[in-house]
Amino acid sequence: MIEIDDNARRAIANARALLDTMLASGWNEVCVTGVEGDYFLARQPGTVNPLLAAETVSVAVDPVSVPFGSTEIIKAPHVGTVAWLAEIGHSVAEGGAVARLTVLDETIDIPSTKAGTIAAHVAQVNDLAEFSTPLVELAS
Amino acid sequence: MAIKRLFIANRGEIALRIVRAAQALNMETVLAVSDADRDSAAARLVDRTVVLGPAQAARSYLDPRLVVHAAKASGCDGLHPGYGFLSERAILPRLCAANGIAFVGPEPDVIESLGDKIQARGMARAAGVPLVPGCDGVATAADARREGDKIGYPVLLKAAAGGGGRGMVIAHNGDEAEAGFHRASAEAVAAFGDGTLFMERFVPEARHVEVQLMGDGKGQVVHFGERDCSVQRRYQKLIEEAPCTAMPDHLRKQLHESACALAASVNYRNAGTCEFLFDVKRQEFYFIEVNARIQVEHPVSEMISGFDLVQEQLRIAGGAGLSVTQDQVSLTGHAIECRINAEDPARDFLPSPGRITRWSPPQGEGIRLDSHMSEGAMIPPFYDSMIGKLIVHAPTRDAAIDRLDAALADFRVEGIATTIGLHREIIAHPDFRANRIHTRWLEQVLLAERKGAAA
Repeated sequence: MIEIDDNARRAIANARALLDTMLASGWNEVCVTGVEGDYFLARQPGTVNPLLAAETVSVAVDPVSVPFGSTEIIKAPHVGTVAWLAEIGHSVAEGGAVARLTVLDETIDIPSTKAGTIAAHVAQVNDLAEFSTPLVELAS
Repeated sequence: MAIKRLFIANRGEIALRIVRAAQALNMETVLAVSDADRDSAAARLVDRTVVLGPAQAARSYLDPRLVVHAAKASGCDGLHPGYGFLSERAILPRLCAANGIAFVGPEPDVIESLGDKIQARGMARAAGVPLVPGCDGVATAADARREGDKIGYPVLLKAAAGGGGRGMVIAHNGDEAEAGFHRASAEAVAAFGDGTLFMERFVPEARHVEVQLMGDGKGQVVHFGERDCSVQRRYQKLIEEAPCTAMPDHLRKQLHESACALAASVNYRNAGTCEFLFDVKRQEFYFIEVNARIQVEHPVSEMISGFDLVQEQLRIAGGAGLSVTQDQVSLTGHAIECRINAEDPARDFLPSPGRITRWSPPQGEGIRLDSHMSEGAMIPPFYDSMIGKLIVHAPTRDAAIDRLDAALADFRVEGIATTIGLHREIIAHPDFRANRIHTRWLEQVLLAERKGAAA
């Protein structure tokens, strides 16, 4: 039997409330940092816990990608202007750049989530890509 | 040149407030949103939204490069930071200036120097603004007694070398000052290797009073009266009023003059608030800090002055001068604001995110609600828990309390826990009606009584 004190009880209540909110909203992940503690919840199949992820400057750590039939759509991990897209038919290794975004004077390579071939461009160069905007379609 | 297209780098009720002010001035509006705020009330009102990043604020609202890039790429020539988030980070106006965007706020150097407590105190001293009486470099017990007698008891003795409450002692008379010196100095030596102490007057029951300012950046400053924000929990304001009826007129005049002198001395531009501690017993006020932004509680000043502060912010950022002189600012009646939070006071103010199943706000003469909520709205758990501000205006403080009580009674929210009930308890308390409150009153008196009643 584990002794549960008030703090633990509060932490459990918080986690339950967050879980309810996540399930009601349809979000895939919830990450909250606060004075009482940090929480990270994710749906199957899970994702990188940003509370544990190291800060990076020049390479996006977690490009958003969603399976789309046998292909995968790579999405913008944050807002930025599309500066370059890998050529259609070009093969990329896992972690290889599939697109490049500029944010003010900084350029950021968007890495591929897996090895594959660029099947199509979904965005255009010079577009303002918002968070989660599809950039390229990757066939594996 | 007047701003044509404004970027709003904030969320919640203040984003909505800024959008409405910009639209009243015929500006186009672009709103920064996180993934969790795509469908917010402000998002539905603007010409365009730009999704910066995921719900997590550090990767959306708190990233100055993403914010300024989105503003520039969407063709905006002005940026309003609201309050909180990046509003007092000098990097935001610096990036705006480098990218040809007018920042709605003070110069970055002014934000930086006012944000530094030591520099800000120096600026206040130079402008003749009263500081909490105190002295540096107390080296012996005899010094402590002599300085304590001079400052007036009670006094606080603390380590000159460190912070964090270590080596801190409160002394109520000369004997305690001497004994306190030995104790605090020994603790300071143990903790920091330096026994030198710093002494200042301790004000156990202070009120928090602040002056609303607007400057043109060229030395002209007008004020819109003071606010009393003494109902606080853990340094968070819950209720704000204007004016501070506990302050006599001659002191009020000095308070306004002090705040304006400080702002004018740094050629302050745009909206700002000068905060003071008001020692009611001694009838003195002391400088705390300047908040270089529009504040949550600005509506109470708008209600008593009939002046739209956010529209004035936008005009000044567009290069206009102040649209009113001090003589044209006339303050009438009394206004009170309650911050309504999605928190459960019965469970130690635990945040209560979720979906609002019923939202039926009060309406009527002298009632204003600044809120981004509606029936069916979702309160995401990522940000602060404020869901709205209920503001009332009436000819007198008593009439304003009555109006507020009726408005709170009419305010029905279901689906989440809120602080509406607590606000009714606060304003029904005899101490609140008699205006016998101070910054620790809520925790020491009302919440303590509540706890006692529950036990």
